[in-house]
Amino acid sequence: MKLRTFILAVATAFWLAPPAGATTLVRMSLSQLAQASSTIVQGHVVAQATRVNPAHTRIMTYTTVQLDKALKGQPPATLIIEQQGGTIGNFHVRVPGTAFLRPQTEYVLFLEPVTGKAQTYHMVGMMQGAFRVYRDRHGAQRRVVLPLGALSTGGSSRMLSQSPALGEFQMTVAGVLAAPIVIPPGTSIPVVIISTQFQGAGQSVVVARTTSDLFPSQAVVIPAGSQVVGAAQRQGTKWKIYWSSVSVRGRQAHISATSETSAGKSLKGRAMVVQTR
Amino acid sequence: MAAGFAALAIMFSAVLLFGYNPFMDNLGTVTAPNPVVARWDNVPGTPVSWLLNAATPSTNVSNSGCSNTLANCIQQYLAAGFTTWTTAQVAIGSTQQTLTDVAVQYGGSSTLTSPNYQDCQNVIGFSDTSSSDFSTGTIAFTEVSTVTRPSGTTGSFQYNCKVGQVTSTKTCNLDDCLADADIEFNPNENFSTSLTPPSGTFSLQSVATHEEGHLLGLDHSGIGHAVMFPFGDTTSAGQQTALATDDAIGISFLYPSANFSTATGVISGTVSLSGSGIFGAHVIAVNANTGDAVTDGITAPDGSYQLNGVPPGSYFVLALPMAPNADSGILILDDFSGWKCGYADSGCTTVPQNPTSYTGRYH
Repeated sequence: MKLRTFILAVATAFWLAPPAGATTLVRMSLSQLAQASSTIVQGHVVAQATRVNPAHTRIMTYTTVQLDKALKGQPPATLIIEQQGGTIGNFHVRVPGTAFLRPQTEYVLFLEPVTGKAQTYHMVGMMQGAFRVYRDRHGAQRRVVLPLGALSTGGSSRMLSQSPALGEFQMTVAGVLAAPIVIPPGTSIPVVIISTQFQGAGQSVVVARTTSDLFPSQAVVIPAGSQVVGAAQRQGTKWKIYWSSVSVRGRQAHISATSETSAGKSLKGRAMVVQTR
Repeated sequence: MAAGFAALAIMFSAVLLFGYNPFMDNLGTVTAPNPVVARWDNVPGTPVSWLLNAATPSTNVSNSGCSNTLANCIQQYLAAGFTTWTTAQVAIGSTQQTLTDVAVQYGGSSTLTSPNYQDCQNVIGFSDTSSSDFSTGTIAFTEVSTVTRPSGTTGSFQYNCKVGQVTSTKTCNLDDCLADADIEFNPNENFSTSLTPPSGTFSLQSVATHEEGHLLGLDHSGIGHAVMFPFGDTTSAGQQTALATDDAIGISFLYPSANFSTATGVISGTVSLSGSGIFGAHVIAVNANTGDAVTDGITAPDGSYQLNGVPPGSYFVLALPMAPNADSGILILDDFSGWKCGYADSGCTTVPQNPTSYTGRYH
């Protein structure tokens, strides 16, 4: 396969850059990357293979990463990273914005699971989710290259340098994972109710899923499919739903919001926009 | 380690210059100052054709500011994005000149709901449910297929396009030809036909213009106010549809009009550190009078670079923090106070100081 190198030349210059342009990607802060990830690993690339899918419509590259350290989640010892693109015959396929993972190279990777494929993940935010680890010139210290430079920290006052020491970076990731997820007031969360649980006459627990990726602040992301929980009370001809929490990749964020909907039929399947207070 | 860094800061005066950056993502393929270019063959004689997936419109696209049906409005705004490219102009002196000759046409509807790399049909859709296609933060993507002349051969070569069980043959008269490019908008993001969409919503035309640049062969730009800049958000500043000079130069370089080579020039040079060429440096041509970042590029493995299609004028050429190669880290500039607006949403008004030297650390 023709090697395509990570877009670091662009990315490393971004520490000066405000958001702009017509885009492929939402620029995500380190907090957002961490929240959106089901799994964060430090690992090294041990194999790479490019294959055509069974329908012969897609070329995909599968990179095998051996786990060295888990920073979030409980990943398996070996992970497969699925990415679009690669070379088969004289067709070369690529998607601008995709990170090129180098063979025999160590990374810290921010990952989401690929539905229906065990041990298989894709990178959160495409190239934004790959932080290459290298040893500095004197071999004295392992460092991490931030794909977006210091902007990866989302404008935080705790802004990292563009190539922090690996230990410092791990501590920063641990810090953002430990910080509570605060969903700003006024956030609009489109949801579809997926289940209700009867709690007595005119009362139900309501579980909904978000239908869009939301980026309500530089520090918060709510990926599509996140679970939102509330309590519904029948009030005359309406249901009043008191929403209380959002689960972002297993982490709970408190919300306060109220929705009203007619009581004419089942709540399940209803779409609505939850407006936080 | 602290090391002196002799940055190139070259003042070009009244020469024909050019900047062009189609290759930010492809650093590993750059083996010479000239970028490896893949483009559609036989353009404009054979216009680039695009199709719209029949499953469009999706529920995540809202119609605002367009009086037609949603499906027709989507087609209209996608077409407007292409028109932006086909009518690109570059300021040459005090006049705007069209320096590109590229043609695009709408080819009808398609049933394809996810990319097909070898059907040689360029489909735009909103209904791709492939699990691995859209990680969180991906607004849209373009899957670009390139065919390359078999090694050891010369002249034109043929390649196969497959639609189901039907195979057809096409000819490429270049070293590399674009063969297929499919654009998919993320079903989990919200789009609007409005150019000033509501909060949390992306402008359809803005995102389309960017992706259509990929479809035509452009890569990402490192200039913040370029349409081909890869990152953004849903704020008004992120809803860009007008081309920056770098965008216009890029499309003109790929599909030049007859006057392109006479109206523009080339900046070339080498970025070095302690006498060795630096691979992957981000080189930016900055208008010396306005401070505006005009165009940019990446240095080749030997440190050389070439910015093509630069309009006549005076420029600083800045070499900014280095991309690491496989074995090392990154150059960090400790003192770079002279100029900070190259990545801004809009053009700069600050003229950069001449940074003849500054210090950095090379890890």
